[in-house]
Amino acid sequence: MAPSTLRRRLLSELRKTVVALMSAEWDVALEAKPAAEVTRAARTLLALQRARLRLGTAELAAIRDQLRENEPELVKAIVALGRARKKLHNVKMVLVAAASLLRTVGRIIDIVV
Amino acid sequence: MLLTACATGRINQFRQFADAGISYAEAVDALTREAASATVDADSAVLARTRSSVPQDDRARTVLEHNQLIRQRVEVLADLRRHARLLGAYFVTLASMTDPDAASEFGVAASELVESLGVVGARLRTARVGDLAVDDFTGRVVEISVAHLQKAVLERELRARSALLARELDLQQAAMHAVVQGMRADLAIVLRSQEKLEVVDPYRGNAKLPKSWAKRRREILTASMAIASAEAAGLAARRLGESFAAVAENRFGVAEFLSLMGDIQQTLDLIAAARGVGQDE
Repeated sequence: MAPSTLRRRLLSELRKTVVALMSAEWDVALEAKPAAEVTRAARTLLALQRARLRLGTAELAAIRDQLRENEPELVKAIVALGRARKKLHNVKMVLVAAASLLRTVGRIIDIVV
Repeated sequence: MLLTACATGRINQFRQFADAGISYAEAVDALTREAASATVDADSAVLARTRSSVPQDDRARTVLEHNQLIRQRVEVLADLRRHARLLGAYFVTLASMTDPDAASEFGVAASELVESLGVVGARLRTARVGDLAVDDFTGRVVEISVAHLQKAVLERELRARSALLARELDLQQAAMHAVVQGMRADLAIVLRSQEKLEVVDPYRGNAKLPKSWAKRRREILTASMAIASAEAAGLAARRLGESFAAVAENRFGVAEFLSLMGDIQQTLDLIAAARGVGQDE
């Protein structure tokens, strides 16, 4: 896959997930969850938004090689997060999938929150 | 007589195209302003929602870093606005050149405008707009063949610069696509936040519902639907490029003009929806 296409897919998934994690449905799913999990969910949302902003402002030329190197894991993580996003009530599944994608994205750009 | 009718038809094509170009530039101006507001509002909504999870001694650093990233996006949007304005001015100049009494200085003005377009375009080409990099999209430049024109100065102008113009129109298309994608996501984020804070949370609680509750609920849900269906808003730039080629090749008719104006209207609809999102904040 061309690095530009991969970045486009990655950004599209980040956008959709940030929108989903800002929804009232996600808020309802977090009800009655332990405080630590709610905090983790909030940190994940912030990291996803940070990744979205950073990846959107990174020059393609500067991240082309990292995108190529991490392509298989990125594609796998994008697909997994897309699947998890469709089951928003399953908080654990969404957070695990988001963490996996963020770990891989962290090898391409700095997203430490 | 036939020759005069042809010339008049050709002049009308350029005038109509110039009018559409001005409308397009105005739409881009408004759209990029709304996109800038939406990107700030969306990021603010995320920051506010997640604030309690950020340790207090990290909060200033977090918000300043986000401010920096947002500034970069807003600067690129301003460049896109400048680029669209220059395009609009160029189209007006082209239309002026169809006037039989047009002075030859129009050629100089056109040349200067294209030069400025190239400068702003070069910056945009390497820049990022919203969530999508412009350089992810550019590269599809259609060659424009210039049909014979009655007005030699206009024909010379088009022959000299149609390739450069096609490249700038292609860039405009890429940038607009990127802006619309990012803007729709930003507006959706703001609306999700509003839905939670102004619709779901008050309804869930035991306090009396605010008087404006039903009105806000309607506004938020209506805006969500308008934004979800605004995918075509970025198509105006593409149609503008196609129309420019049609004008140069003498095949820009009423149907092409109406299609272009219809796509510009889609952009205006997205702007109206965006304005509706923040109206009661």
